[in-house]
Amino acid sequence: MAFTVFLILALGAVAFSANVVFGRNPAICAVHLVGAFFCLSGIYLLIGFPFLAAIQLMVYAGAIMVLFLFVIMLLDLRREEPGPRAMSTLLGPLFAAGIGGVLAVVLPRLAVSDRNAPVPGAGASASSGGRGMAESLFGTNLLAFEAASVFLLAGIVAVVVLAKRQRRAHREILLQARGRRPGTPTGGPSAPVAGVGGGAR
Amino acid sequence: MTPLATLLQGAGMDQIPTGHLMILAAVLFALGVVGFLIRRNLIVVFMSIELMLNATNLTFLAAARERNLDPDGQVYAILVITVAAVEAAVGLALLISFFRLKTGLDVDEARELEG
Repeated sequence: MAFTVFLILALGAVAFSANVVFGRNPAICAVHLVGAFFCLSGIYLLIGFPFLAAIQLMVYAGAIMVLFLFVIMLLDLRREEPGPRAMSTLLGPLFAAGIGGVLAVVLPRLAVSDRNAPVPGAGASASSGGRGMAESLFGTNLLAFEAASVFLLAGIVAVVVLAKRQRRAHREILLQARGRRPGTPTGGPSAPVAGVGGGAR
Repeated sequence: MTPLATLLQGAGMDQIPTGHLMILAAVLFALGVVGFLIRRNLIVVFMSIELMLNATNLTFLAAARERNLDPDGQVYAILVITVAAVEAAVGLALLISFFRLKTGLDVDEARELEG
């Protein structure tokens, strides 16, 4: 029973991912990526990680994909893109097939050979819950946790800097195009115009 | 207990071999590599990166299950999701400024850094 469900979910994940990679319309690609995330979330649930399944749905299928769809809708990307790049049409799948083949051969052996490794946490059901995860997150992996928080802060600052700079330039272009100040020569009042625009908001 | 509930309790955990999970992760990673290499649309390239990160997560979780539900695997998967969220935010901000600078989202238009 569980294996059948796993097979269905795995085939769904692969099919959705293939549609993401080979689809023409970016919006359709994004929706199919959400489908792939749902299938992966089901697999996480099936192999005994309900918390990660919930995180996958909330953070990935919820937040990140909404960001993607928002950008797609904002930029209005309905144009069909031309064919794939000539050089990588052949090399890309070859390279990917090589990587995929090596991983598909090596990873299961690694997993099986690790079976006799010393297992931390004898109580399996207890360690998969919140307690074991909290002990790992705030104990042995505290440094990684702090690094992730610093990383998030750096990302926030980077996005603010990027958005701020382009907003000012964009507003100048907009104001020049509209000709809001007809008497002034072009190019001269760029800084005051930006200031006025900022004050009006 | 309904079959779904027993399924969700992890009753069938031993029926799914870890090797199958690893092969699924390898296939998803390879699909992500294909998308990263052959697509020209920058936003689909970002989606391919997300696909590869998900394959990595699946590998972490499969290995953690193999090690008797090791909580470290879940923690690493959460850290990967954090990195993916930051990458998506910064990448999409870069992508919007790229779109304003150029006419579209074609990767081949970004070749002014060469030489």
